Amino acid sequence: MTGDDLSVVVETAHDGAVLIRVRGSLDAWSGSKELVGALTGAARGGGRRTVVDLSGVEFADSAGLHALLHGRRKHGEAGVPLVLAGPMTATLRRLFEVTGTLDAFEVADSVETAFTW
Amino acid sequence: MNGEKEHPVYGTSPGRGPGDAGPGAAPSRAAPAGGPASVPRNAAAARETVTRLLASRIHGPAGEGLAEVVVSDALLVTSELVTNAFRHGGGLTGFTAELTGEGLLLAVADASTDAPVASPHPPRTAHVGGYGWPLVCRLAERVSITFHPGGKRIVALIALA
Repeated sequence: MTGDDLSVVVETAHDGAVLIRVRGSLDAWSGSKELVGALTGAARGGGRRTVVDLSGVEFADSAGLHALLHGRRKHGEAGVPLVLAGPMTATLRRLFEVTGTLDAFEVADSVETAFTW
Repeated sequence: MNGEKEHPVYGTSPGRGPGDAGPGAAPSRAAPAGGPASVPRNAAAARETVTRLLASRIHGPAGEGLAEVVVSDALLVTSELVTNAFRHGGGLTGFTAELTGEGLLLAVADASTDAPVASPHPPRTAHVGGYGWPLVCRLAERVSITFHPGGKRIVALIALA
């Protein structure tokens, strides 16, 4: 994968919970805006929670982090819980760890766990 | 009368270059695909160049590759520096990745004489932006910036061990 392709798929469950599946690389070129749009939409939708499946994210840098933090802010403002679901690749974990932003999020080790948290 | 003359020796003395390491040696320097004169068109292309370079590096007693965290750090620094060159630096004007005895040396040149700035946020407040440059400084062993009239060149060293 060249990293130019990013796929963001939004699924809404019948109980209003939203699953955002992200696949590919999250950087300043690869459509972080799509992710921001999906997160903003989910926050506005007022579902019972939003889960972001990051298990398919091979790489993310600060641009990707920016999108996630922006989404977190929107969810905080809307009062909708946001959970990041893993398992995360080493690079993604490293990004959160080195920037000290892991504590800013609710993180689950799988999508299943994220929905039952 | 002494007929001997001393002749100055011109030309390069035998030295160590990428080709001197012996047959089958891994390349120590990588240029982006498209030839040495081109620069990566985006961060992903630059990361790809670095990935290929690091994959060729044999490390450790069993000949295993580099530790996961080292590769992550190298890709993160590459991505941040190249992104900044395009986003804040007026464009990427040069990019080299080279394996040296000290580690991975990344040189990124851009067309701006503005220095990278870290946002003055208190740590751990999860502010939304401004993580790129502090990330580079934390992950790189050493970072240097050289300014010239047309822009600047940032060199970052990533330790590989």
